[in-house]
Amino acid sequence: MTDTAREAAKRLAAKMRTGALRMSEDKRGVVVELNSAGDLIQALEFVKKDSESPFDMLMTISAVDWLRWKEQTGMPQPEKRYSLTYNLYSMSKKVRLFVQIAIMPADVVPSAVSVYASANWAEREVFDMFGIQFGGHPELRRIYLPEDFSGHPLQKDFPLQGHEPQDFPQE
Amino acid sequence: MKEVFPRLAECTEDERLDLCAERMVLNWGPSHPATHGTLRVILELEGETIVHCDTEIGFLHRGLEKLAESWNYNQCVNISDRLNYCSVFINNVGWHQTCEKLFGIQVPERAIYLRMILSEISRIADHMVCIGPNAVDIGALTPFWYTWDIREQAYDLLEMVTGARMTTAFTRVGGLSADIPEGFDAKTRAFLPEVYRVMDELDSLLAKNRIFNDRTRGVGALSADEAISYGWTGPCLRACGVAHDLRVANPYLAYGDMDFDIPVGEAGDTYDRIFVRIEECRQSAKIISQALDKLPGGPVLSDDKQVVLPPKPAVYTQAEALIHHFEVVIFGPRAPVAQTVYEAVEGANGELGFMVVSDGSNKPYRLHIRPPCFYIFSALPRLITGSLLADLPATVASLNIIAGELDR
Repeated sequence: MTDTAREAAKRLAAKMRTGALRMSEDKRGVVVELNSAGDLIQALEFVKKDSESPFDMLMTISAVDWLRWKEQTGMPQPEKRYSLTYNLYSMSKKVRLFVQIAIMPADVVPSAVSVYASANWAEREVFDMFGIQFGGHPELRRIYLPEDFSGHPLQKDFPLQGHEPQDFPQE
Repeated sequence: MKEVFPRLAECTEDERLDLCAERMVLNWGPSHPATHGTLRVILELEGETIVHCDTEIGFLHRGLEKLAESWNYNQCVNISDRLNYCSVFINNVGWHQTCEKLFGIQVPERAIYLRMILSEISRIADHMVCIGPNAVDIGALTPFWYTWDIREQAYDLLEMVTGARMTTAFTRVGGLSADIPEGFDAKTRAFLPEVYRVMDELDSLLAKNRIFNDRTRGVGALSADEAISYGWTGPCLRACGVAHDLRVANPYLAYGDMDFDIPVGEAGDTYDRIFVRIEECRQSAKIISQALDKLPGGPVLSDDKQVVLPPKPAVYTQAEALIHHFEVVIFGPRAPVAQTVYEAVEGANGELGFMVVSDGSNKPYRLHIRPPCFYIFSALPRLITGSLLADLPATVASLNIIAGELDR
């Protein structure tokens, strides 16, 4: 299983400019870490059109806020605050590939809607929960919370019970 | 705008205004009997034709992923209870399978088989909840009574084992919280012929029913390529003709040892989605019967001291066991530090995935849930634009959108 994904990651590395990515393996499987968010769309297009195992489905985009990482684990703090993991699946080979980027709060991530239709709502969810901006998204607005909600609840500095009681409009 | 009435196009502007006056904006939901949950669809209508569709979700958003960051790994099973509340046990299995991969724990054989049996019973109940109301939405009340009967019997079985009909919270890190009670085997075996009988009844009630065919064939159809691009999984994707099922593609539990088929549709429309689900119930019954035959003996919970309570007699007599008991009860199991796992199960609606980042404590640092409904529902405007208003309830019901899972 991981062999197929590893081969695909190697083919991706050969197509991208040198030093664009790092390959690693963990309990999830093969993870490709891109050094720059600018390479994201190109990398996704390459793996989607891969000759052996096209990763034609974007399952989900998972964001992680590393703000309290050092405090809670005692391990070195990641350089950039957020990471985004694009969870890809190959329908023909039945394997997963994880494409990961690290970003700062002010960064604008290029939107993957042009590559995968499922990126539309996945990116809206990440924006709603983390406040991460996606450039070129057709309608980047909140998906779960009301438009006038302040803050992004899955950021680690957002208190569990919210900032203050929120009044929801009563009609 | 898609031109739906060609004769309108030939009209002069004055005639046109006379005929269709102006477009109407219709608000469907969030509280409407045919949405089967709290979701809102905003429609722009020209006559009865939908020319524009926008969706709004989040009415049932409870911040489950944020809550998980303050609950320990065993408590989080309650979060999975509140995802797809029609087939809760599958969510329980998905969550604890993720935990077990994180902790590196082996589950006893008996627990694996019981998880599989209860998952398939849940799947049958979920499909019945989808098919029955879907038929009611398009005017066929009779199938509803048959499906609800099976659903009740399935919930009775789950209640017999777990004590709850819906929020079962029955799995634990390392297995199940209890073994099956006496009489479960016989009662389940008596349930299976009922499933086959009702599926045949549904076939005969619906398959050649003229009204049903007219209301569902070609309604809300999506091509296989588009379905894959939208991230569709489960019965909706299989209705589009893609034979993808995680139970076969990446076998978990003991599905690799079971003999069953993946039913697929052709057109990817409402009709196919319903009949793929009906056939899946037969396949689930087949799996349950094989699993009951092969059900091994032994414990249902691992004996790994790191995560599981020691036996009560030992707690009362041995200091070491008492310490373990205290550790597990007060702190809960601790995960290895800085690990990321992603595990997915084939839920009743498709791939239900859990991504966990651990920080070495007893609580997840980050939990991300990949609900199948979320991606299926995102394609609704694509499915419904250009069709008639009456097709909307039929389509939404056949997608089986469960708000608990959609909104988390």
